[in-house]
Amino acid sequence: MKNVLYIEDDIVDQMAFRRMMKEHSKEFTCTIVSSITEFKKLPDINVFDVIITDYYLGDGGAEDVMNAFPNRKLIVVSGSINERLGNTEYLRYISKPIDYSLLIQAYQWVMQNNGGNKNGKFQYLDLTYLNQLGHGDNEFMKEMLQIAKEELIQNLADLNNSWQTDDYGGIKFHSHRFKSRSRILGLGLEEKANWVEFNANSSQKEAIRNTIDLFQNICDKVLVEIEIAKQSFD
Amino acid sequence: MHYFVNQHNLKQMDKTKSILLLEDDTVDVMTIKRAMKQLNFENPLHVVSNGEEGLEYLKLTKELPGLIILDINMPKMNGLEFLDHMKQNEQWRIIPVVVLTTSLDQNDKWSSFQLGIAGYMVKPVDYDRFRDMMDTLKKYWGFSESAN
Repeated sequence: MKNVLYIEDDIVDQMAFRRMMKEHSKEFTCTIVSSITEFKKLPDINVFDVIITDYYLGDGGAEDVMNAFPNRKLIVVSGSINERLGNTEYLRYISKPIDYSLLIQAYQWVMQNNGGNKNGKFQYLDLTYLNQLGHGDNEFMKEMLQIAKEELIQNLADLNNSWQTDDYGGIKFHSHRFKSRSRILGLGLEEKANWVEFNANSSQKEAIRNTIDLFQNICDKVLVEIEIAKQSFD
Repeated sequence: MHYFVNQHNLKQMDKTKSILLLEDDTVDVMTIKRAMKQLNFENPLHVVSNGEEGLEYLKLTKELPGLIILDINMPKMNGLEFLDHMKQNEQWRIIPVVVLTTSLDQNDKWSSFQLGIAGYMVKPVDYDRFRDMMDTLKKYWGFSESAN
């Protein structure tokens, strides 16, 4: 049974989607939320095998979902030809009304490489850089992963602490350091960290807080993935 | 452009001279050590984790390093503050300094060159390119013969 999340603010489209999923209820379970706000309140996005979102929502749109999970494959639906997006590494577009066969094709695309994992193994962690560095030395890889893990934990604790104490210099400093962590571990969060670094002292407090929360949420998963990766080098 | 090394400031390599690395990030230190090992650098490497420790090292060492590799973003005393201090010392100011950083801030780059660095290298996202960068350093960096 595959777990599908559908983000859609149009009640008619929600009903049509529910009806379609009901016809295939042995294959799919479906969760529907009506806004980006509701989407952000979901406790764990990783329980969903596939995320489908409407292009435009009342309080945001597909780009918000993409930005929140930059390394996850996403299916975007839209009824307007003007909103049609080109397919990319992480995005497939299908038009409304959703045709089940097209949905299945898009679903199969998402599930390629073990559900959209970047390197066929992990959802967030990408060991390309470390593999180049390690050059087949398993002990070195384990050591690097352990150090990266410890520094990631400390880095996020420092970043959160700086936020809580309104230490803008600290936010700037620790978000800068987070870029290195992201680069080495292949998390793809360097641009977001760069944004925090250069906006640490700006009025965009909520956006900064949300971005730090995003780092924390992703890194909670990354820490688990690092442990799995370490075991693979035993 | 990921790196710029002013080759006019760099002379023939001397294997006996040490390299001073100012870097507080353990993973980056290991990355640099690894690249140096793979590229057969023979020079001793000394690592300190901030500008204060860097200045302390220069004060106490019997033989000045032939090259300084400097990160900008460090606690206590950052790379630019360290550069500013060391360039005020007649003996230290002639040691070539290459900045190795993730900073894309043009002000950092401008300030670094104003302070007389020999090269500015942005850490790439790809390790092979990082190693190429270190290889460039190995080929072209030189030591001021009058340093020490």
